[in-house]
Amino acid sequence: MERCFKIFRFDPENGSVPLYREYRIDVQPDWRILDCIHEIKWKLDGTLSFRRSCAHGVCGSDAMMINGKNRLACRTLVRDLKKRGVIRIDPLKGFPVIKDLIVDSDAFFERNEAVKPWFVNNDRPPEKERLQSPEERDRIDEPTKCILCGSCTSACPTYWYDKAYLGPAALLKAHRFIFDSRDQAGEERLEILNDLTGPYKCHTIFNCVETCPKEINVTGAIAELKMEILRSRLRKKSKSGR
Amino acid sequence: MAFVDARRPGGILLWFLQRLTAAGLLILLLTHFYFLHYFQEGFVTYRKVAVRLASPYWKIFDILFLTLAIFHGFNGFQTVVLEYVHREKLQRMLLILLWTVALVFFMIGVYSIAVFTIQS
Repeated sequence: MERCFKIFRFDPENGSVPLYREYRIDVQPDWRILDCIHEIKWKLDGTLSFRRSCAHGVCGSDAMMINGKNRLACRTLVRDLKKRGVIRIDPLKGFPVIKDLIVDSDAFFERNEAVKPWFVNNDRPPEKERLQSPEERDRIDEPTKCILCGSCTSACPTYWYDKAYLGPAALLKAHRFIFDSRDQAGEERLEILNDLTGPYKCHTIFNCVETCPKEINVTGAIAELKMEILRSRLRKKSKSGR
Repeated sequence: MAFVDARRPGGILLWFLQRLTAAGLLILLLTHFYFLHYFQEGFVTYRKVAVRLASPYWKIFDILFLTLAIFHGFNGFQTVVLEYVHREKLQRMLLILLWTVALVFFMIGVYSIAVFTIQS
């Protein structure tokens, strides 16, 4: 069946203005959107640019806005979208566009780095492994699924108007380490988050939850961070009081 | 990382106080509604309200109500300014203006509650 794709095109190096270009191609209902844009790039218009790497929903590089919602092009089938009408594809909103569907994600990863997204434990490593009970593992089960595709931060209205905000992805990453039973830098990360750039800028809009391709409850994780900062403050107060 | 350098402390305090005042306001508001609309017999009249407002206990109740409401409202305003006004000087000016207005409202409110007596 023939479907029409309306794709955002922008090539600042050649002085072009941003516009939408339409492409009509024959597709199968079980094609992924990634297959469709491959078909366009390979057969109709080789200048169309987009990112993709693993093409199996693991690397997170082909996140884009498909019919008004941020999704992974490799995990969205044509039959999952509405049956008729054009399929519109935009780059992720809130990030500067480099070319066509490719966005500049430097600022996104910079925010991620700000929360120290690495494991910290200064104890001597045990002979085998640092054990964790199933319950302790469950605590961080959701945030470990994050593939850093940027869909949530790009969907966050707070991030759109206030670039000082760390954004849902970075906060989720902070959650993943703060609630890891083996990690020791939790307090330090909470100190970084206790700031006007931190979780208090989240106004529970839930766009991140709605858009997350891994179905992570990002807003819930941010709410837990808000409470945890409070608890950490109280812990410190009661310690210094004694 | 430029955005981290611009950090200012105080994230948790604003949020926590906003939650706390919200909970307080809910209790005070329900009490207020109950006494104004359900507790008394017949219609609400100026006289009935005036008698209540003249009692010192209700004055304390209303001043508490006023304090929480002003803080909650203006803290909300402050959040809007902090997030939408990005020019630092303008932001600071607006915040000073905001809390000045809040203080004036608060003082007018406290004054009108405190000096209220029933005219006969």
